[in-house]
Amino acid sequence: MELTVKKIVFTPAVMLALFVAAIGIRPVCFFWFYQPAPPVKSE
Amino acid sequence: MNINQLAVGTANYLSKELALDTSKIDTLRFGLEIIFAALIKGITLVTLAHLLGILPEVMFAMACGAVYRLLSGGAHCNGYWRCLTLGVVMYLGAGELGVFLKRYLSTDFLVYSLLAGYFLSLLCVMAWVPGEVPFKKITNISERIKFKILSLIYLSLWLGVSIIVVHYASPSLAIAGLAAVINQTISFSPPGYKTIHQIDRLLAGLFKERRCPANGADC
Repeated sequence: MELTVKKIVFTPAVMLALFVAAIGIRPVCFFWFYQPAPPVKSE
Repeated sequence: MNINQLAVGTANYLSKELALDTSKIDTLRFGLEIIFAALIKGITLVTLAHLLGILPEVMFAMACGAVYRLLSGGAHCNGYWRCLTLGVVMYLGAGELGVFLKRYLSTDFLVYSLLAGYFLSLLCVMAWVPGEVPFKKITNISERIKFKILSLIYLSLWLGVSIIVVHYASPSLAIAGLAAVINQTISFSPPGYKTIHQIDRLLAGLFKERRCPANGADC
C-alpha cells in the first residue's frame, strides 16, 4: 500500500525531471549563471 | 549542502524507491538540478523584487534577458550560490535602474537608447554568439549560424516590444529590459567573460561549493 502511494507521488516528479533533462540540453546555455553538468551517458 | 548534492541525493532516493534503471540516475540528477535551481532562483528573485516594489520591472527584465541567454550563451559561475547571488543582483539592479531612470529620460531619448542598445548587441551577436559555456561547446558552423540568426531575430522582437512598451505601458519596464539585454550582451563578450570570472573568484571565498557525481558516496 505504502509502495503504491510512493509510486503515485514520485512518478510524476521523476517524469518531469527526465523531461526537463531531455529538453534542457538543447539550448546553448540556461538563462541563469549556473550550468549543471549534463548527464554522462546522454550526450 | 549545495544544489548538486541535493539533486544527487534526491535522484538516488527516487531511483531506489521506484526501482529505476541505474543508467537513468544521472539524467534524473540533471533534470532535478535544473528544476531546483530554477525554483530557488525564481522564488528568491520574485520575493526580493516584491519586497523592493519593483516586481514588474524585474519580471520584464527577466523575460528579456532569459530568452536571449538561452540562444546566445555566455559566461557562467562555477557554483550555484554564486550564480544565484550574481543573477539576483543583476536583475534587481536592472529593475531598480528602470524605476530610478524613468524620471530623467524622455520618451525620445529612451527610444534612441533602445536603438543604440539594439545595434550594439547586433554587432556583438554577429561577432561572438554562441558564447562558450562550460558543458556545451558549439563548433559546428551551421549550428553557430543558427544561434546567431535566432539571437538576431530575438533582438528584433525585443526592440519592437520595447518600443511598444515605452509608448503604451511604462518606460521603467523598457529601461529594465534594456539593462538586462546589455548585461547579457556583455556576458558573452570577451571582457564580460573576464569580469564574470573575476566576480566568480571573488564570491568563491564566500560560497565554497563542489560538484559530486551521481552515486557519489562521499557527498
